[in-house]
Amino acid sequence: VAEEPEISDDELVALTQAGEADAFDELVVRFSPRLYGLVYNMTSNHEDTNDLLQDIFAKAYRSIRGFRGRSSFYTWLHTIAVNMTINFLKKRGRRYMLSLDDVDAGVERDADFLEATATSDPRREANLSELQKRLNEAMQKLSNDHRAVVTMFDIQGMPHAEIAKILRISEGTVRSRLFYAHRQLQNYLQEFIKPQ
Amino acid sequence: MTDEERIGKLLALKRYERPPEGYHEAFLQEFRRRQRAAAMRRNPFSLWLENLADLWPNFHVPRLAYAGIAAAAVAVAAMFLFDAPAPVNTVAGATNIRSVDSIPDLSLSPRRPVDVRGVLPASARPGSPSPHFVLEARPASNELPLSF
Repeated sequence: VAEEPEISDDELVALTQAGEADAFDELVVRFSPRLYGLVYNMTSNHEDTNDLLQDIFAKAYRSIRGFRGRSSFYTWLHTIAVNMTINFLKKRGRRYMLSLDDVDAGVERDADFLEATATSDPRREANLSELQKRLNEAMQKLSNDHRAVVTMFDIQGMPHAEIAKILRISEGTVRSRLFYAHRQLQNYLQEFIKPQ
Repeated sequence: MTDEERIGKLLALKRYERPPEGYHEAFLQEFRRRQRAAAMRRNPFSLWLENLADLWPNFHVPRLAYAGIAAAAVAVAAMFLFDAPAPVNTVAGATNIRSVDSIPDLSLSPRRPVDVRGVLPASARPGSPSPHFVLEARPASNELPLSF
């Protein structure tokens, strides 16, 4: 039996605009894992991420009738998510509390993890939770704008052009923010990246 | 491998941080529950305002349209201004006011005595009733009042 072709994002948007609330539920299912990653890596706090994500989807649902398809729904939704998260972080200020998710067991088979936590060099000895904590602390030391770019590029693997569209900045600005953020992170995480 | 590449690989390990099992399914249920609760709380007017606010940035009105709206507003304002009734000339239309020419010259001059013959009090003008004085109803008295 041939599988039914998956309904596209644009079709789901059109159905939602026509009043089909179930179509928006499908969009939530599709995009919540990705948006969760975006918001979580910017806040380093699971509870804040959960509340923000609810607000982001509620805002998207209220605004979807105004979505005219000039950009993809993916870009439009990410723009809402980044703007709302940055606004939240501005209100939160410098005081934050890490509330970290569990790390998937698969990381222990990742070559990059093994390299970063290799025990041959005593200075690089670190267990999984220590590396996770240090990574999150280093991320929180970046400015909100830099953290957004690092999250989208290094963690979520988005191309420069897509990040530029979401943040409504030039690709050159994306690259320069990345360069500056990486330089800062190298200082904070020096013991994990020192060449053997 | 450069430091830039190493830092990128290190950051990529954050992809392994994941919310608890079943989180996203529960998230959708929670989203539906909050949406329903929010819909119950909102009154129709606030809903209408909210929708209007959401739609507002998407009104892509051409710039020339703003000029047209401004021109129309000016035209309407001008219609009201120029269509207003002319003010009534009350001085010319009045019949019971003495002409300015009939007021005698009262300016003081050392060589010319002031002629006040034409200027009479209203009570002294011909045809006007005789002066009327009202005296105090109670007579003045030094005696103490007898009322207790």
